[in-house]
Amino acid sequence: MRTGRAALVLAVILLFFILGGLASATQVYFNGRALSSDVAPVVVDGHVLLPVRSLASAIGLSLSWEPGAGRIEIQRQDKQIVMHIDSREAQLNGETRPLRAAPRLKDDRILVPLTFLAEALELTIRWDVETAALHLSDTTIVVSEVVLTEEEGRTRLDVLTNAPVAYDTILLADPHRIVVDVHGAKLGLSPGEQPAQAGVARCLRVGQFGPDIVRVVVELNAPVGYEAFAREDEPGVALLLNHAVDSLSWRDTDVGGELFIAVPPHAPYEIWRLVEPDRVVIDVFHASLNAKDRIILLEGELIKQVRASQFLPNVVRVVLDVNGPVEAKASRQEEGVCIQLGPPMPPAVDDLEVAEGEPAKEPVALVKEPDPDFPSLPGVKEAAEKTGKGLLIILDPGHGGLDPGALGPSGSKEKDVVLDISLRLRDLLVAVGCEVHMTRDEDRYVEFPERVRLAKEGKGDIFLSIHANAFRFQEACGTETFYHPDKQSSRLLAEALQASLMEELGRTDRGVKTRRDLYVLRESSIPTALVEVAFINHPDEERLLLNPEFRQRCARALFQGLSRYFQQRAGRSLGPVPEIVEDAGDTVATTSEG
Amino acid sequence: MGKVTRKALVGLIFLLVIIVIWALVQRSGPSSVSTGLSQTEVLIYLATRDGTSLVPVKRTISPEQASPQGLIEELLKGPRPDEPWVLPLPAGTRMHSVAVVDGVAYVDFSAEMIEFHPGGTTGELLTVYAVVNTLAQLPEVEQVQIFVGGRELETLMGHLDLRTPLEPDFSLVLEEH
Repeated sequence: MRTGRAALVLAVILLFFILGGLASATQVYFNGRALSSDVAPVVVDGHVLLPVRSLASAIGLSLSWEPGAGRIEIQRQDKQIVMHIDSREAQLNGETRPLRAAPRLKDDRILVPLTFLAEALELTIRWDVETAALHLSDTTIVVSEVVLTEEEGRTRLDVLTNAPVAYDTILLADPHRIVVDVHGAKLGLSPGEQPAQAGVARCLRVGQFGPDIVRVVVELNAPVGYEAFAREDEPGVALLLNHAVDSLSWRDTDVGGELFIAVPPHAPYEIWRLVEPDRVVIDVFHASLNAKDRIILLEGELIKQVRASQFLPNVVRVVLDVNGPVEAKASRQEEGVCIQLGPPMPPAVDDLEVAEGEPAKEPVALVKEPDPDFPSLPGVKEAAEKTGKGLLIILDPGHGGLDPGALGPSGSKEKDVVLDISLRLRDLLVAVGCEVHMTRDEDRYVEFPERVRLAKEGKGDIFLSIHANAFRFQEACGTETFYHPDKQSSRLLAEALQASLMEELGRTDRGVKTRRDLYVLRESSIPTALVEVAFINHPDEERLLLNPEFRQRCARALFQGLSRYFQQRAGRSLGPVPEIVEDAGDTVATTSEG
Repeated sequence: MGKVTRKALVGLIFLLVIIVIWALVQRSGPSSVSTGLSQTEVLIYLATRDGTSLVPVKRTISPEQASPQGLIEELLKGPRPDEPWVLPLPAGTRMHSVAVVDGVAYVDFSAEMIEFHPGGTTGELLTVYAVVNTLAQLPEVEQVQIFVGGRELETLMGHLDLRTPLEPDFSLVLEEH
């Protein structure tokens, strides 16, 4: 009978792998957080094993490994496990325990049995066959406090717990409310309802929903979107709710008209102009569209119509279709943003040069505030040895000027982030004696042919295009590098850069990819790579990209990647990454070519 | 060990083999098959939520709809509520027209395609090849060129070179799901 049962268990596990796990490796989650693909479980002789080395950093184990003795020691909080390769006995805090499957060494990976590991570390295991996922979580999570506050005018919900948690959120109607389910958790405060007067929140309810789920409900005055994320400093979940854009209204004036967008006073916004055909665009950030009428048909002399939509989960975009150039001025009022439209003031915006075949975007007015996210660059100590002498590196910060590139959920722009990283990298390279050419060293639009002009003529040793990535959905995150498949040296370069980015930044590895259709890769005739350092539309990665220290790490990683490339290609490394001089001043390295 | 258990084991393994074969057949079915009920099976290319891949997803439509126009319309409908995939095109994008000349499909989208695009190399690649791969399953389409608002594009979001027609790219496609 035992064999029969074992066979059944084996069949179920195999089925799991066939139906869900074959295509891509099984996704492993720890306390609700997706781990990188290198921790995917492996089935050996019907036992599910996990690669413990990759798992260690992901779930906070300390691991020591003695290859000679085949001894594995795992430490987590007050638990200590000792196992040996191919031995079906383990020690848990000094006590001997039998193992149903022995740990193994396969392809240089240490594989340990999942069930024992989970039992010993008191983790719960949940297989989700539908999504081919393995969920591991700590067992005793307690929700200790739930708080509503305001952060820069936005309503913020904090659910405090004693350990990192898995959670789901959902926006429901009738009444409008956001439901947050904290999985594997017990309620550590008394359940009940309390009224709330925080922005769009009306009241707050907390309760134990089933044995293992704590449910928090925020009732809303308007259906608004939100960002949910793991709390920054302490464990738990936080939600930042959007501002509601309640209505759009139009009023004719003597010179033209006024558009009024009703939105709370803190909502950041930006106004842009697009040409061919002429349009004025207003983006309201951290906002959800709650207006009933989303199109205002005007068919006037100056303006055809106004249309509003939810551009991104957290950005409301209002587009004014106008008949030719107009003068647009935005101002913040107590209950919203007012856009005044009138005929153009000659010759101001009429002279705008428009690139052929490329719709030009020109900011007409900006809400300018001092920018703590982009402080001036640090100074860099000149290297004693000019290891980069004689090398010409072309750095190409993506986008710029009237092309902002991708946008982050809080309104950050790819063009600013990648320019800053590129300038930091430039300073490092110049400090070791490289000659650096920047396709742009300020916020301006550069056309493709101009970007690749030198590289196309074969001038330069490296062409490096620096970008931040984006996708329509916020699940996308991580680092990737592209190169042209026909160029072997470009492959070496891309691999070196990606390896250094992974080491230094430790984001999800999306790999090195070949593309024939990316403009700069196609046109350049020197070793060329395009790096996407992180996803700016991913809330966590946007926060990182807005951190100067992270951008300095990006620059360091790229420096190391270039060094690694030159080492492999030509046997010359660029040496250690030049140090930053804390007191920026007279040793600031400058570019050798503009 | 009893005979019965061994029999049960053999039975189980047999069952498994059947399931594996069934699963493989399901995955490698031809891309376009006419059934007796005059319905045609076509593929639209959606994306995984994390933007790593395109995913071919089956749709059953009438044979008349299996045209360039019908395919793009089917694509723009996006995933069904029970499907875990996402449409990698900007919300609100509409198709203006599509014409096939000498093996090249020229497809023109509304301004939302650019205006409402989140950007990023990944975002741009998945948008473009969702369209290209979907159209290129038709025997008459070898390459696809994307227009927006009736205008030829140099690029959509600043990474891809769209000045010339593109061939389908299956390196972006998740083979099995």
